[in-house]
Amino acid sequence: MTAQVSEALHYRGDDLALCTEPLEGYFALTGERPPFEAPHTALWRGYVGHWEILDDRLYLTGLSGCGKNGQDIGLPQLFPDCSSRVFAHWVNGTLRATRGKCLQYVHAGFASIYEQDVFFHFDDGILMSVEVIDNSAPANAAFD
Amino acid sequence: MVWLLAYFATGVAVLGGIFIDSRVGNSQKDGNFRNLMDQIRRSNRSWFEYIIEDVLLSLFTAIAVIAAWPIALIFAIYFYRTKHDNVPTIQDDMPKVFSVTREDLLHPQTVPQIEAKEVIYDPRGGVPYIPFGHLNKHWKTFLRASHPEDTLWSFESPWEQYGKKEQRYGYARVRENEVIDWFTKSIKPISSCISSS
Repeated sequence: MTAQVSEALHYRGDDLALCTEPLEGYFALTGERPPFEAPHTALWRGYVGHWEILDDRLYLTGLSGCGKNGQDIGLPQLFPDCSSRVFAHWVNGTLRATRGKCLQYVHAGFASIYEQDVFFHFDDGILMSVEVIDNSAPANAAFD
Repeated sequence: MVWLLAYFATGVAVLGGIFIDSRVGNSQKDGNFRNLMDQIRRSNRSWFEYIIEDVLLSLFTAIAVIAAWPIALIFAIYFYRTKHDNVPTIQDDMPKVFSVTREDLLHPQTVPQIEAKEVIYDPRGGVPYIPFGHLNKHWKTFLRASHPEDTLWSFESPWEQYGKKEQRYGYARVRENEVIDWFTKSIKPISSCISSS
């Protein structure tokens, strides 16, 4: 699979590339998926979500989705009750974001390696912890 | 000399038999998911892997079978019997479907009890102040299918697919001691990233 366009995550003034798709968890829970269409092979899921972590809570702040016949699918269509900022209370587990330069491009999904991986651990949409892995450091640095 | 020629000729015959059996087996597995994944893997190989796997390995195997055909024959018979004892069914290749069983049920609860404790609050108004927040519409749809004699039970159910382990939580509808259907309120991965491609 071609390398995929990442989701966008804003965290403490930084714009990160989110390599996890938190909306898919929502679709899995509801059993409904809007009829997104892939505009090209680098975006099979058919949408890009814009996320923000604010006061340790994960919010979906924007959605650019491609529907059938070129129609736009955005936040108002998906969440008519909260169309400007959606608290992602369905998100559990770890989200992986990347930061910095691309060290190694991999032509598949979100497999490319960047300078830093930032792992956000969530419980019901609440940020529990953050873990940063520095990929630019030598792999055996821990043993030096 | 004649005996040596006869030995190698038998080896060639054994090799031919194994080859034909393997081709017939592969043609029967064409729609098989695992076979499809293997085809994808093979199509992505480099020329180096192609030479190692398809040329050198095949050549080495052929020479080994001809040279030591009695051992190869014993292995071939063993694998033939094992293969026919464990023929994969269509169900083996189908994705599993999640279901809640009686063993997953925790406590019986009324709708008011559930709705009182499942309201989700966000100080920035990112979710309506209603039970299950953004999942409320689906909760209401679930409730509409209730019969008066039904009871709702909380459930916690483990689930694993494609190596991803998770725990699913929600409420199940029980009718005459049978789980009829369920509403999943959250999915918590036990390991690995969620929905990471």
